[in-house]
Amino acid sequence: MQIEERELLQQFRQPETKEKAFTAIIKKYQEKLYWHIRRMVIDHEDANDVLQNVFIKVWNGLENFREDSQLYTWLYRIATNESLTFLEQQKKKSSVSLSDVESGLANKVAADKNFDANRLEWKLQLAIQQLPEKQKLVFNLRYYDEMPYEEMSRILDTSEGALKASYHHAVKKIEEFIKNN
Amino acid sequence: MGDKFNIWSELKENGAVALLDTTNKNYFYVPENYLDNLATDILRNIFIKSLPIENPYTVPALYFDNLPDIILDKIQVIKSLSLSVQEKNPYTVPDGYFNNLANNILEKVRSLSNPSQQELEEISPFLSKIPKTNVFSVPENYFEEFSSLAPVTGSKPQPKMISLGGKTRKWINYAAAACIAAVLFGGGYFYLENDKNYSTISSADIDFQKQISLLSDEEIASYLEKNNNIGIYTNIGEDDNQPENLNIQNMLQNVSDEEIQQYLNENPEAAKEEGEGI
Repeated sequence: MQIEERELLQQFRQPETKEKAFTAIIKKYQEKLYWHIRRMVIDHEDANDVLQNVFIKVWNGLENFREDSQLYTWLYRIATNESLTFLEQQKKKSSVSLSDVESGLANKVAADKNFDANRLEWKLQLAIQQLPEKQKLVFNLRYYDEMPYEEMSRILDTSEGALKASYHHAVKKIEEFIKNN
Repeated sequence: MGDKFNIWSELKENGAVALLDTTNKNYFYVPENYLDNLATDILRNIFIKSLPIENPYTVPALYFDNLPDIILDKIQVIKSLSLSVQEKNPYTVPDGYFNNLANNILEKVRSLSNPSQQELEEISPFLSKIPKTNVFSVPENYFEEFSSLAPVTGSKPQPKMISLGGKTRKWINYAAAACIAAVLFGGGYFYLENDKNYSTISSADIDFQKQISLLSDEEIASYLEKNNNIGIYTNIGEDDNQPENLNIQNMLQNVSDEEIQQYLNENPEAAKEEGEGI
């Protein structure tokens, strides 16, 4: 674990510095986690809700955090699970099929005020929403966060080989989508 | 010695006085050790002269004939080497090549040190060229405000969560109390007008809130049961989230005491029944 993370953890475990350490942790990781969540749920308000849930869980669980992995790995894991839980709840609320959820997310992308269908970056976003959730996660972590497969394996609890294959398929699907649209 | 004497006598007889000088002075110079080294030098010369004089080395055919041209060509080559690059370079370079070269190389270096980028280039060169710009927008100052709302107790910030149940419950109570007060006021008013025996307290003096507070819930509920044409009931203590409760609650919130009084004025029958029921 990095020195800074260890220090924050120690401060968090002291009552007099707990809140200060917690605020520092939020400031350090909020943007990374936010964008990781936002790329999954698309809508800002949804991302905000999920992000708050993540840090509430961090507040409740950090005391017992076993330092056998990096802190940010643990945070990413929580954020991933919360995002998937949120999407699962969305599915149950609206009682739609999986493909409808994906097209729903694509519609959310298209509903963004800055959306421009002619720009490659937006086409890329639409293409990403066509991917299954797990594959989307793998793609986002590798493409945007440039996360090593070893680290990704700890977050998603999947073998590195499977992750590499998943990423490879995701890239090919995205490329095909963009070229055909 | 004899020869020397004879020569000397002869010179004397001939009158060569100058030659008779017997100091034996030598007027010629001889190098140092000349006579000592003479024999060795002569023998060396004899040896050298006995050596063959033929040239054992060969020269390519026409070497000397071609030598001038060769040298001139060499001079030309030397002259051409001293020309500038632009003067002798026949190749062209794309516009801006050198201006962009540093950036291109830096990107290449970064991709080599960035395995994910390198991997993407291998899988899909097309995708690797799409700029990784962030297209989603975030409200201004979102992150600054988010971290300033760091929860103390672990619960979400209260302003963002509105608990409908508790407040509605309170409003229901107030609305119910207000309605009952209005009904009783109206009923009591007419009752007092009709009942001359009830003279100890005038309508102007009656503090109905105080009167109602003296009544128990059972008495109020019993009264309302008898006067079910009023169409008002309370659900104090029951689940407030049932649809019918919510509809009546919404109605009660919007009904003022004056409106209830007006209703009672317009429906004297209802007011009379209420008066008789007290």
